[in-house]
Amino acid sequence: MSTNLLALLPELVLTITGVLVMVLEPVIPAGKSRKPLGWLAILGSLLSGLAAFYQLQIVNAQGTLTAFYSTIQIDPFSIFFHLLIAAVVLVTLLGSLDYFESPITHAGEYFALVLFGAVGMMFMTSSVELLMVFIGLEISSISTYILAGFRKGRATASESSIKYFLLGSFATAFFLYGVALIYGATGSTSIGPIAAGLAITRTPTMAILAVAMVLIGLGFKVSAAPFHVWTPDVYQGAPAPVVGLMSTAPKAAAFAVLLRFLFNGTPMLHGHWILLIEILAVASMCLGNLGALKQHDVKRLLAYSSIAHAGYLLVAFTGTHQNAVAGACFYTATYAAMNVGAFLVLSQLSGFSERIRSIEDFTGLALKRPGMSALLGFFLLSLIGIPFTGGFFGKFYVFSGALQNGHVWLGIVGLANSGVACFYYLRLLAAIYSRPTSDSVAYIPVRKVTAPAAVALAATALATLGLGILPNKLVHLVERATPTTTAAVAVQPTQQ
Amino acid sequence: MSLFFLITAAIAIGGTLAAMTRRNPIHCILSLALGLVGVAGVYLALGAQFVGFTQILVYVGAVAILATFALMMTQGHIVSALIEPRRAFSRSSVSGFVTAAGVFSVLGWAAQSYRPLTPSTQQAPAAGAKEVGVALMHTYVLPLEVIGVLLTAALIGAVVIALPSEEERS
Amino acid sequence: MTPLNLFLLLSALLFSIGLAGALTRRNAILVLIGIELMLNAANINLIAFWRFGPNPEALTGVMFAIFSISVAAAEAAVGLAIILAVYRHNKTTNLNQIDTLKG
Repeated sequence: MSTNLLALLPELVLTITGVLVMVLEPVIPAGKSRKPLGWLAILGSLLSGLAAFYQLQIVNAQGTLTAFYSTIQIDPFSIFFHLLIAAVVLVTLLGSLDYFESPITHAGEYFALVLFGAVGMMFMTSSVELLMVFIGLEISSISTYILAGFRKGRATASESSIKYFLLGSFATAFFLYGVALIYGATGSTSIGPIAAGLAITRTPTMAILAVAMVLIGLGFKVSAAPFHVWTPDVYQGAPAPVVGLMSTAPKAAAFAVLLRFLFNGTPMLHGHWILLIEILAVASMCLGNLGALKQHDVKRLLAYSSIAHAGYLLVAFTGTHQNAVAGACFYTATYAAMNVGAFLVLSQLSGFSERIRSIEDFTGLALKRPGMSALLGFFLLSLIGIPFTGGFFGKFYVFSGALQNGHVWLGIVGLANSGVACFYYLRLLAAIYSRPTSDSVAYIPVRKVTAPAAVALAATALATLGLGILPNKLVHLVERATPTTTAAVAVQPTQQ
Repeated sequence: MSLFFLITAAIAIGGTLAAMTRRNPIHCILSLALGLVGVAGVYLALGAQFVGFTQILVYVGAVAILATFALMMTQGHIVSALIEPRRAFSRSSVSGFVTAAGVFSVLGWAAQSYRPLTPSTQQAPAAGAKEVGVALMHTYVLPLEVIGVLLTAALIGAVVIALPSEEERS
Repeated sequence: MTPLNLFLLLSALLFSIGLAGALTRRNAILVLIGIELMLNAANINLIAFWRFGPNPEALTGVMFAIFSISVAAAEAAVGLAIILAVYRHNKTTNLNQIDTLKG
């Protein structure tokens, strides 16, 4: 297989599956279930995960792959994110197989858009050329704008979609302007030459401005404060399985772009951007946690919690290069497992109608749905960061990385915020395990959990638990993931 | 070239200013089309013919027309309702203008203090259809192919979201 | 001031005009137009840097601008479709009146 094909293997598999889903969609008669297309999409995401695994074997044996005129770089860093994105997509598809069943007529398009979005996210993580990053970012954004509005027939769906779209495009404009300025300052749009160009630039101020604008653009995408205003509204109106997807996979891809761009592209400006990262991190942690305290809608509460978690993740950036990449990768993985899991439970509990919304609705849930309540409770405990859950080690690595690099006050702010966060997670947990009131869950019909959704739930729960008990496996992988600037440096003949 | 640039820049600034300030949205979109023609002229002044003509085809020919259609399909039957009322400056609009002015002062300061990496070349390098075509089939073949995925996703998505659902149709 | 600085100033001005429009207009279609102006401003920058920068034969800025034009067109199509969907439910495209989602 040629290097070019090999480097694109996971993306190719997903694209072909997505096109197949769309081609087969009209073959299935109208009114019939679209489930076979869902299974095809699940198969595709599974295969693309395997393809990423195959790439890992090749990279282990031969070193980093570069393809398409050094546009694409396949190293352990990009493979880690490929695997993560494929896993999130797989679990989301399993969980939403029955979610859209009865009332929707566009289930086929839903599966295809999830797959196409994943192609964009994967390109974001494996590209070292900002043009490809930009196109990947747009594919993933456009797919998620549409997916956010998929509860058609409800006014909140289109409102969620338009808010996400307008603020997302706004962010894209900032990102593109920042890329244009970095091109002016350094004469290139590739990560490696940008780093080289920064050494000879005559206007470093323009490069700093460019980094700030790229940070604003990606800050919107990862919902870091003060660019978070869209998050609660969008998460509230979007379908629960889609929120699970869009609060993890596109954010993971955007963090991957930030890691590559900041640490490999603009290491010379470290002193400048570290300040911006600190501001974003502190603002996200504080505004996210304080905002969550006064929420009644559970999806809004989890939206503010995801803002806070973006803040914790940004704390990882203050470590040394190696620590930052390892910490951020580990945190992204644990956050993906627990957050996708929590939204899967929500989608299984309330279904397409989403009638269980507020904390009051959850009162006494444990009596009626003990299994689901236990799962949700477990994910909430992991989001708090209780030991023996993935969330604990995620926070541990992030904060210890920051402390080692001398950012003591940032660690203190983070720990204080974790304490504040206990309140609202425990408020939800207490509601679940308290005596039901007259107008709570008792009147809501029980949805049966289907086999694929059960598999998805088990997978996320096991991943959260596994990362909490045996974090070493993943730590070894992420510690190797530190991306290097050029292909020449990345080849490590000593390994193997 | 200098005079051509000044004229096109004036058209671009005038058109976009009108597009963002007129109260009647139809006027806004028509001024936008004019402003985008001005931007295309700026591209031509810079020697990028292909981009200039792409700009006219895509923006003036497609995006502005699409925006007009969207306007007509949403509130076109009540033209009077389209015109936004003249209102006192609200707090949000003042903060919007202040933000934009702040951004302009920072970007403008960076723009006028910029020094290029190398002394500028006098001769405009060629960027016609031939050069762009060769680059698309060579260095930029991957973005060209991946933009196909983007257009497919956008097409599917636009149709799905614009179609009324079953309940709404009945 | 060199010609290049003039082009960059023009770009900064268009970006700010688009930004002001996107932040202050209440009609969703006009907000979208403001965002398109911001993208156009970035394209002017890309092409100006290509024209006066090093190594113009590589066509980096020009190609980036061409791709960003096609991306912006796709985005505008999706955006206007979303606006149609919003109008069908709310009978308005005024963003101030689209506010059912809140805590």
